[in-house]
Formats: sequence, C-alpha cells, structure tokens
Amino acid sequence: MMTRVNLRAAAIAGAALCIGAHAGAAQTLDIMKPPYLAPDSTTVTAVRAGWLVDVEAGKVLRDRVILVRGEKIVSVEAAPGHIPAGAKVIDLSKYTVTPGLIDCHTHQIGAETNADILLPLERSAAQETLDGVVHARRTLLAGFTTVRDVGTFRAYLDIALRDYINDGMVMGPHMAVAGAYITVSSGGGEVTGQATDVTLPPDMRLGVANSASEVRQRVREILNHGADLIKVIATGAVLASGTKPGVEEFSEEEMHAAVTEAAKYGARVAAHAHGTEGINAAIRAGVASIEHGSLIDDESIKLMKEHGTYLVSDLYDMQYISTMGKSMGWPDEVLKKNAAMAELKHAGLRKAVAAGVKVAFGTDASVFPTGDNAKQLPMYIQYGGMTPMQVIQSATIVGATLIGWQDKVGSIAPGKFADLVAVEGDGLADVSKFENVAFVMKAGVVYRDQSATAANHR
Amino acid sequence: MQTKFSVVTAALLACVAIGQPASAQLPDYMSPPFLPPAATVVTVIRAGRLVDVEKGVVLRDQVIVVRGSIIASIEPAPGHVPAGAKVIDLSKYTVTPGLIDCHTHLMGGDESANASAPLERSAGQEELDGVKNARRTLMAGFTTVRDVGTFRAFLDVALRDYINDGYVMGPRMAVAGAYITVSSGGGEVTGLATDVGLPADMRFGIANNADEVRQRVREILNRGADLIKIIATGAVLAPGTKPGVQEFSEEEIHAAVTEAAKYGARVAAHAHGPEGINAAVKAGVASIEHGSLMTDESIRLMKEHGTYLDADIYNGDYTNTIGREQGWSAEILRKNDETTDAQRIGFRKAVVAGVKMTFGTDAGVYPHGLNARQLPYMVKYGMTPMQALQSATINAATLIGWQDKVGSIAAGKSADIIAVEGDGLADISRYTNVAFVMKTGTVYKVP
Repeated sequence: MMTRVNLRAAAIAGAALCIGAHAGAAQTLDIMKPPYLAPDSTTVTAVRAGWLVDVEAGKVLRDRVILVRGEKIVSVEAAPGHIPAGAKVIDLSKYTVTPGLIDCHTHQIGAETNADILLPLERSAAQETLDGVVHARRTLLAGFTTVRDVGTFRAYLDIALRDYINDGMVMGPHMAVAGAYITVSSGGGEVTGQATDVTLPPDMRLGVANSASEVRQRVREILNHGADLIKVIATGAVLASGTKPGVEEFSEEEMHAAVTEAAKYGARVAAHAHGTEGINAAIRAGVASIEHGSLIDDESIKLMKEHGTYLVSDLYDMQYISTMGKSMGWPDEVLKKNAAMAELKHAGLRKAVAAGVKVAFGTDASVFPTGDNAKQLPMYIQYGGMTPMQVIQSATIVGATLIGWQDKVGSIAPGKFADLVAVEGDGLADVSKFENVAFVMKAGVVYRDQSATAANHR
Repeated sequence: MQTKFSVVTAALLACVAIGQPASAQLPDYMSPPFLPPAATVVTVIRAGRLVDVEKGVVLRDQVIVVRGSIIASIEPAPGHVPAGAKVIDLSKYTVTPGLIDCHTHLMGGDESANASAPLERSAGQEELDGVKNARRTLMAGFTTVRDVGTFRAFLDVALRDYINDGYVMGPRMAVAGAYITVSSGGGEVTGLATDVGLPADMRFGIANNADEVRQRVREILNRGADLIKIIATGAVLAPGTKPGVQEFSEEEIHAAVTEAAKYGARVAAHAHGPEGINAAVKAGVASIEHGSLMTDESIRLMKEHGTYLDADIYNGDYTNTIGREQGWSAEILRKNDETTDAQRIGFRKAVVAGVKMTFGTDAGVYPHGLNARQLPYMVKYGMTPMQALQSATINAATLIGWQDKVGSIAAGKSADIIAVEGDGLADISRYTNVAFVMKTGTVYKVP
C-alpha cells in the first residue's frame, strides 16, 4: 500500500517535471467526476412539506420538515422544526410530498414496443442500452425513483444500466433487475414470430429452460451474473407472437425449482402469468409476485392471501394499446388478446383489492412511452376500487417491500434514501397530479424542481 | 400522406376523448434533453479575444450573434445586439471554435494493464462507457471528434445517433464503425489463447486481401459509419503485433481508398512503421494516424499527396508513467518507448516541412476529458500556439470533411464555441480546463 502511494506520488512528480503545465491532478477537474453522485454527508437540506404522505401509517401529515443529510433522510418533524445553520431549505409548503414512487414492472432496456413484432432483431445491444439511458432519465424525472425492471430480450443490459446509474454516470432510478427472462423455448419470454431458420444471438436466449434442472441452471447463471431477482414466464404473453396468454408454460414443479434456487441467493421470483392455471401454479410454487394476473379467479385470490403473494397489475399499457394500437398498426391478434383481457383484468384487480391481496404498482413501461407511468395511478382507483392512499402505498411502501428494499426506500423515514417527490396542493384529492410531478429528489440530489418557489432553492 | 395525417389526428382526438393529454401537453422530460435551441432563440457572446483560425489572427472585442444552432454574425463590439437576445459576457476570455480531436476511442473502458479487458466487457457496458466518455469529452471543450474505432463494431454508430438525436450529451461524432485489420493484426483483440473464440462483433473488420478489404468497406459504410479506419501496421497496445511491421499492402489500402470514395468516405490509416506509412500515403489515405517512425521520404510523400498527419504525441508520457505504475506489460512499455520520442522528432520535422497537421490524441489510452493536454506538447515540439489551435479546429474539420459546418467561428457554421480565461494563446495549457462550452447553440458549461 505504501509502495503504491509512493509510486503514485512519484508519477505525479514525474509528470509535473516532464511538462511543467500538467499537474497530474486529473481527478480535481469537475468534468472527470460522475455527474450524478449523491452529496456527501456534510450537505444538509431541509424540505418543508405542506402535506406529507406517511404511507406507513396511512395518514397525511400537515406542515412537516424533512431533514436530509447527504443521501439519507435523518429526521421528520412538525414545522418549524430545527433547521441546522447552513442547511439549504426547499420550500414545498404548498405541495404534497410523497416518497419517491416505485414501479414494480418496467422494461427500461430497449425501444418502446411497437407493432413491428421483430423489432428486437433490428436493434443492437448498443442501441437497446442507449434506449435504457433515455428511459431511465424519463422514469426518474416522472417521479419514479425506484423501479423493479423485469426483463430485457438481450440479457444483462439491465445490469449494466443499473451499475452505471449507481456509479453516478447515468441519470436514472434505483433499479432492481431481472437480467434475463426464464422462459420455455418459443414461450412468452422469447423473441417470437420469425421464420424458423432465423438464428438469434445467444444473449437473446440466455434464459431459455425446458425442465426443472434447466430452470435451476438459468437461475444460477443469472444471479451469478449480478441480477437482483428472477423473472419466470409462467404463461404465454399478449405481445409475444404465437404464444397463448391462457396457456401454462412452466409447471408448478419447474417454478418451484426457480423459487428454491433463487432463495439460496436471497433472491425472489416474479412470475409473468395471465392464465388462471399458470397464476395458481406460480403462487403455489412460492413466487413473490404475480405479474399481470389477468385471469385471476377466486381460487387465485384465496391462494395469494394464503401465500402472501403480491399482485402487480398493469392496466395503463392495455388502455394505451386499445387506444393507440389500431393507428400504430398492431396485428389484430394482439388487439383481440388485449381487448379480451382488459375487462377481466379490471374485474380481477377489484376483487383482489377488496379481498386484501397485496397489490404493488407496476405498469409494463415501455409498452407505452416510459415516463407516463403515473397515468396508471387513477386507474387503480377507477378500476381497482382503491382509495387514493392505497394507490400511493401500492406505488411506494408496498413496492419497496415486494423488492425487499423496505429498509432503504418506500417511505419518508429516518435512515432511508432521501427519495422524495411533490405535487402541488393536496395530491390525494387528485392523484392524476402525479402525472406531472413538480419536484423529484433521489438519494439527496434534486433532479427536478418546478415548484413555484424553485428560484429560492439554490 | 393525407391518409396518414388523418389517422394520427384521429388517434390524438381519441386520446383527448379519454382524458389523456395530447402531445402538446406532454411533460418537458418526454422530449430529448439535448436538442439545439429553436431558430428564434438569439444568443450574443461578447468575446474579449476571438481566435480567427482561418486567418490565423486573434481579434479583440468581438460580438458573436448565435441564432438557434447557427452562428449568424461576428462584428466588432459593441455591434448590434438584437432585442431579447441573451448576452453571455466573455470579455475577459479567449473565445475559440469548439475543439476537434481527430483520434478518439469513445467506446469502452480506458486502457489498462489487462490485455484481455475487452473480453470482460459486454456491448452494454462498452456503450455506457461511451456515454460517460462522450460527456467528459464535450465538457472538456471538444465539440467534435473523429472516433477511429471500437473493438465491438458499430457501438460508435449508435452513440453518434443518440447524441445527434439529443438523447445523450456528447460531441458531434464522425465514426469508423470497426477496424479494418488483418487477422491477428493491430486492430484485433490479441494476446489470447488460440482456442478462445471471440464474439462476431469483435472481428467484423477482418480482411486478408484486397477483395475482402472492399467487402468490409462496403459493410461498414452501409451500416452507417462516416469514415474507414484501416490498420496499416502493428500497434503499440495490441500484444504480439509489431508497430514497425507493414500489415496491409499498398494495393490493399488502395482498395479501401477507392471503395470508400464511392461512398464519399475517407480513409484514416493507423501506421507506425515507415513502410506502412509510405504505402498508406501512396495508396491515397486522407490521414496517417500516429506516424511514429516516419522518415524524410514519408514527409515528402505526405506533402505531395496532401496527406494529414494526426500524431498523438501526448499519450506516450501517460503510458510511460501510469502504465509503469499500473504494471502494463513489458512488451507494451517497450513498444511505447520505441515510438514516443521518435514520433515527436518526426512531428517537429513535419511541422517545419509544412505537412498538414491535425490534433488527435488516442483518447481512451489516457482518460477521456484530458485531451487538451496534447496542445502544450504540440507547442513544445514545434508549433506556434496558433498552429496548435488550428490543428484542433479548422485543419481537423477539413480532414473530416466538415469544414462547412465546424472548425471556425464563422457565419453559417454550427455554434460550437469554447472559451478560456485571459489570453489563451499566451498559455495554451489553459485549454486543459475550459471555462465555457457551447455546442450547436446549447451552452453546456459556463464560467
């Protein structure tokens, strides 16, 4: 260690000697630092909140002061509170401050879905990654400070994006990522619709498994490569050409293999499932969440309650397809599948909410333009029968708990990341306000401040 | 057309009907963050000193009017400042055209001791390195780069496109797509066991005869590259390869030049050894990259053919100090020793002889963002400060073929403008920490 330090000092001295103007002090140049690093712990910010949504207690508190030190929340007190000298003060006293929102079902990587079913074959890994950069920025600025990203056709691009965001190089939310889809050959997680003699690059088929032992192998490979969770495709998919959403593709035994293998790594399993048999098999196999859950029945709801399984129900994407699908040229096959499913899904969600199933907010962005995620919040009220507080809870603390990050994110509490968003006035009186949030802070960094008092926040 | 419009209109109306905002009401963050300003946006820059690289003079107290992304006029102060214009006061600064580095590698991680490092990096990671490097490069005052190769083919094309579309912060890029190199040559990932298989995108540019060279040129240009990079000799940093050895014949390089010309594209030749340099010049390449071991004959040929010399005379010192500290291999340090001083001697001779010179640094060998460290080296090895700045502006723009768009502060060109405090030509090292950066009319850095 000593030697290394000396060598470095010598190198710097040498460089200085060899050409006078050049100090070896590259690291002192601002431009060399990652642009999105959290502030250090000497930086103190006080946020005055007119309304503060306490999602853990399910209450709205008036006139609070949130103290942020570096990247973490240190205290929440009734106004005026104790604001340390030298603290930067952000006045959101006319705003509703909530925990940063969490979307438990996104696809940051890759182009937005369109009617071209073989679009993935037209896109390089490089382009798909840069699409991820675009989506991550929009997602964060839309107020989603955390996402659970549940799959990319090209394996592990999500891991790379997560790491560059965590390193402060790229603007985006905290990401929990799935790495690749575990899917049967020709199933709902494959690129489908191409002629049979078209060969795919290996990274598009990394998660293909056709037996319990192959499922375990894929789980190990994906988690050793750095994924945070496992995404298993239990049934066919709406948007995968040829596959049938109602068909169970993995058996309960195969999904149980995924759950037990993932558990060894401390990782959870999210199961894509539309059809009733697939949903129920996945729940019995012990998955943490049912994604989509389009055709849940009373038995599914009973099983979810019994196993503590979360439902992640995407509604806005289906509305988007039904509205835009025709003009975007979606095949009739897809539009029919979509239409048949939407109504059943709404009814299922309403039953699940009434029964007290844990529902985590998840949208399936980028089936629709990423950044519009919050358009689903009012839909959980309209179609799911939730209260506004339940909607915000589903998009904060419930999501955090599903991911297993409830100690880090999901509520405004001391010790958690300073992930905050704000909307003008009383946000719970109209949750559609969250479709264009006025303020976004992630890990203590302010990314968006369009509040009326923004000019005073410097 | 009419039909298409109606469909879109109907879709928008449908959106409104179900309570979804039409595009006019979209939140600002749904638009690309780095688009140039609209033509109605007028910005005025007061320049205390303005470097006129076309005439080779420094003008005092000028006013530059920028409309949208384009420079509209330059006049002596006080000039005519249009009503409503935003004024940027750089009256204590030396205002210079955005700098141009003609030899960067934005894709991938920085050079390290690890010869097999490219095998540890996915295309996704290399692309994100590109995002990081592009940002640093722009913030360092380099508003344009000629990016001369990536081990994984076409990552550079993607980055260029996302920058141009305003999604990623970075310089305007002219890109090479992939290296055209002989098998096991200076543009390959080398130093691996013989039974290690490489992904196809790492070997896209392999060619071993003139026909294969033409095939690669077509493939690379049809996939969207702006120029062709051919590896004429071995390389310092490619284990096993010999910088002095000519790898492509004059005939093979000529095949690249003629095929690229059909597409309006130029060829940059990586060449260290004199045989390789001279063959490339005779074959008609636009530029010699590195040119480390050039001879008087090379200089004569370059003058005769109008070939540019794009010599990276800074990074030898970086490799020598940091490479030694980090334990880069003895072979690479030896090859670096064999090319560093020789290159600087040749550089000085070329300057004296009046060879057309461009600024190119091989960024990526050293950390991106420190590119301007080469400017003082160019002065030390024979250029005037004005010549050094010309090599990094108008000469570079002309080599790329973009002299009508960039490379000088002139009416009609893109508003790519940087500034350093005080008299920049009195101390060229000031460009290693620029105070102001504007690209395409967008301000990225202010004092």
